[in-house]
Parts: sequence; C-alpha cells; structure tokens
Amino acid sequence: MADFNLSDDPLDGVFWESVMSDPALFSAITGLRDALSAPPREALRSIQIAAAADAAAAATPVVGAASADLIVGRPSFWARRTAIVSSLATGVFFKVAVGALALTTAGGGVAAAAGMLPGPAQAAAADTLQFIGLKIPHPDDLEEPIDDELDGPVVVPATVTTTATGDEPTTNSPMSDVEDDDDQGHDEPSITTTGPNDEDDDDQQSDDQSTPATTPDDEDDDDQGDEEPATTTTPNDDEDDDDRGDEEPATTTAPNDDDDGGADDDQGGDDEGNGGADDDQGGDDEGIAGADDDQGGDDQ
Amino acid sequence: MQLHEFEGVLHAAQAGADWAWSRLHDAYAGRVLGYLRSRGAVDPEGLLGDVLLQVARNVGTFEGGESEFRSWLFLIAHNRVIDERRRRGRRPEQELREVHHPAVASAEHGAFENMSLDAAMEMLEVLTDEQREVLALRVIAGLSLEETAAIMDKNANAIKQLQHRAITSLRRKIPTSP
Repeated sequence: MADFNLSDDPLDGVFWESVMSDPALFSAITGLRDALSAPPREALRSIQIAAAADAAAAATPVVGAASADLIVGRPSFWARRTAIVSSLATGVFFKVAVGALALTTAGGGVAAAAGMLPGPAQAAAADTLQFIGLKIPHPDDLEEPIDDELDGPVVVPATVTTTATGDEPTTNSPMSDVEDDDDQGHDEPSITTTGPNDEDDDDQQSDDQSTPATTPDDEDDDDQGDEEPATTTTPNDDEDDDDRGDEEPATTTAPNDDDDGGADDDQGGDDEGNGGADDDQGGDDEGIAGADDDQGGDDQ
Repeated sequence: MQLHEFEGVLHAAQAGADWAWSRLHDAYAGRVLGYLRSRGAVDPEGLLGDVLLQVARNVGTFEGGESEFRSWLFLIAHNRVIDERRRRGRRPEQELREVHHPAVASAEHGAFENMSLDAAMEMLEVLTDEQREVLALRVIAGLSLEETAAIMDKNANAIKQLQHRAITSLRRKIPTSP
C-alpha cells in the first residue's frame, strides 16, 4: 500500500486509511496485488527487453545527441547526420560522373560510327569493335572509296563528253587517217581520239561486225585497227578495270590524257614508254587480238 | 526509482540502451502485467510485449518525470486491453471465467499473503470491470486519483465511488476474522 498516492485528495486519503486499518482487507488487497503482479517468465523478459531496445534504437532520429552518446560504440547524432549528408553528396557526384562518361562515350561512338574520328583513333575503334561484331568504318576503308569515287566521275564524264562532242562526224575519220599515215599519228590522234576512239572503236568494232555504217573508216581501222585498237583499248582499260585490274594506273592516266595533255603523255609514252600509255599501247600492240577478243567478247 | 535515476534511465532507454530497458522492465513490467491480468486479458504476457514495444517506439518524444511516465505506460496498457477486446469481441467477464480456474479463497486473512493467481482472479469476479480497473490502477499501478480518472476518462468523484464500491464488495467477499 506504500505505492498508493494518498496525498492528492484528503477524502481519498481518509478512504485508504480506513482500508489499511482493516487487517483482513489490507491483507486481501496486498495479496491480490502481489498475485496479479507476478513478473513474466525470464525468457520472455529478455525477449521483451531486446525488442524494446531495438524498437527504441530504430526510432532514434528524434533522439538528441546527448542521449545517443550514452550508448557505447554508437556514433553520435551529428556524426551520423554528417555521414548521411556525405553519402548523399557522394551519390550525386557519382551520378554526375557517370552521366558525363555516358555522354562522352555516346559522342565518341557516334563519331566512330560516322568515321569522323582521327585516323589512329578510328582504326583502334574499328579494330576493337570488330571483335564484338560491330563494323564501323576503318581509316583504310575510308580512303579507298573516296579515290574510287573520284576516279569514277572523272573517267565517265570525260569519255561521255568526248563522245558526245561528236568525234564521229569531225575528228574521228581524220584522226584515223592520221593514224593511218604513220606512227607519228599517235601523237595527234592520241590526243583527241584516245577518249573518243575508245567508244568509237567499240562502236566501230561492234559496227565492224554488225553495222556497215562506218565502212570507209572501218577498212582503215581494220588495216590499222591493230593500232587503233591499241589507242582505243586504252580507254577500254579504263572501263575494263575489272578485266585488267593490273592496269589501273594506265586507266587513271588515260582519262587525263583525254582531257588535257594526254597527247603529250601519249607521246612521251610512245617515246619513252611512259607508264600506262606504253603499257596500254604496247599491250594493245601485242595483244590486239586479245583486245579484239575482249571487245568481241563484250560484243558477243 | 528516484527522480534523477529515472531521468538517466529514460535518456538511455530513448537511445536504445539494453540496460535501461532492463531497468524499466524490472520496475514496471510486473505492475503492467498485474493490470492486464486484472482486466481479464487472454494473453497478458503477449499484451505486455505490445505495450513495451509501443512505449519504445514513442519514448523518444516523451517528456516528463517518473509519475508521468507511469501514467503514460498504463494509458497504453488500457488502450491495448480495449483493442484486444475489440479484436476478440468478447466481454471481459467471459475472459475471466475462461482463463482462470475457480478457486476458493481461504477464510483466513493470513492466507491472502500467498494468494495464488487463480484465487486473486476469483476475488475479482465479484467486481465489475470498471471497479476492477480502478482497483488495479490505484492498488497495483499506484496511480493517483487524477491519473486514474484521466486514464479511465472519468472525473475524480466517479473514481472515488468506483473504488469505494469495489472495496465494499471485497470486504463482503472476505470473511471477517474471528
């Protein structure tokens, strides 16, 4: 009964005084309290204590630093808050770094795919990505197509334009006449007829076998067609790059000869065996039949 | 538990110290368990664990002395008993009869000193639920008249009448000594 709070109300105090004055009633109430207040089992006690301590520790964000310091080995509130802030800042930094790296990688990948990287870097990227099956332009691959593309437009328009300029009515036959005259005819005819004669010869040869339209010249061409094809096969080489891949240098010089100084080159080629001209002509000279065969084969 | 001692224990308990919760458990677990038993709780020990967990979750926001802490502790126990009754949908009188075997109190008043739990529960059967709660809060928990009134949501005079009727009923139950 000592736990009774009897001081707050006089009447209540008097009441409990009367209760304690009755020994039987006092003993009954005391026995009732002790029986009901028997402590829980020891195993349950330890479990409840541990659970309560853990629950209180889990709710520690509202606890001040002073009370947190009472726990041995537990960092203070400020230390934990500093750690949280630093971890958040670190996370933000890494996110920014990863984003920048991703953008750089993506930009480099796009540049590599477009072949816009510098040569060594492009080569390294191409070699590396080739291992995983990705094919991006290689610097070596990038250079050759450009040359091919440059050769193509130069060759084809040149022959076409010269053909279109109409060598047939004006220069074709005179040139063939000149060529018929002598070997020097190679100088002048080769200037103008190298390009035209290519197709002219093709046409003529096709005409030789098919059309009689150019019969007068055909005889000359037939006579010296051995030489004319020699001049005409030069452009054929240009167009027959696939057939005579070995003569690609000759084909590259031939169109230039057609355009500008082809005569000089041809002359030089005749005199000193210049490059592809000599090869072309020589090849043609020696391989007239072959040229004819090719052309005939093409025709056929 | 002295006032300055209680403040240190409370701060340590707020931080989650095991030793502080051990002290609080030793000081209040028996009383809370007695209150729960007197209220006819089906699983008083399990309900005690719930009360302690609720206290642990909210002890960080508690401010006050030992008297306020004890009043808060039994208020939580009071609410847990109500929750349990709502879950089970049973009346407290039925709980008392199911849980405890009937026992006959000894006619000798000296026998109350070693009263068994069953005998104590049989004595409480003569009381109403409110009389049992008033008696438990006043005698077992050691709360004041106002604190008891606050927990039971009644005024002090109602508590006085309830405890008076409860003591009168117990007096009738107890055989007078020769």
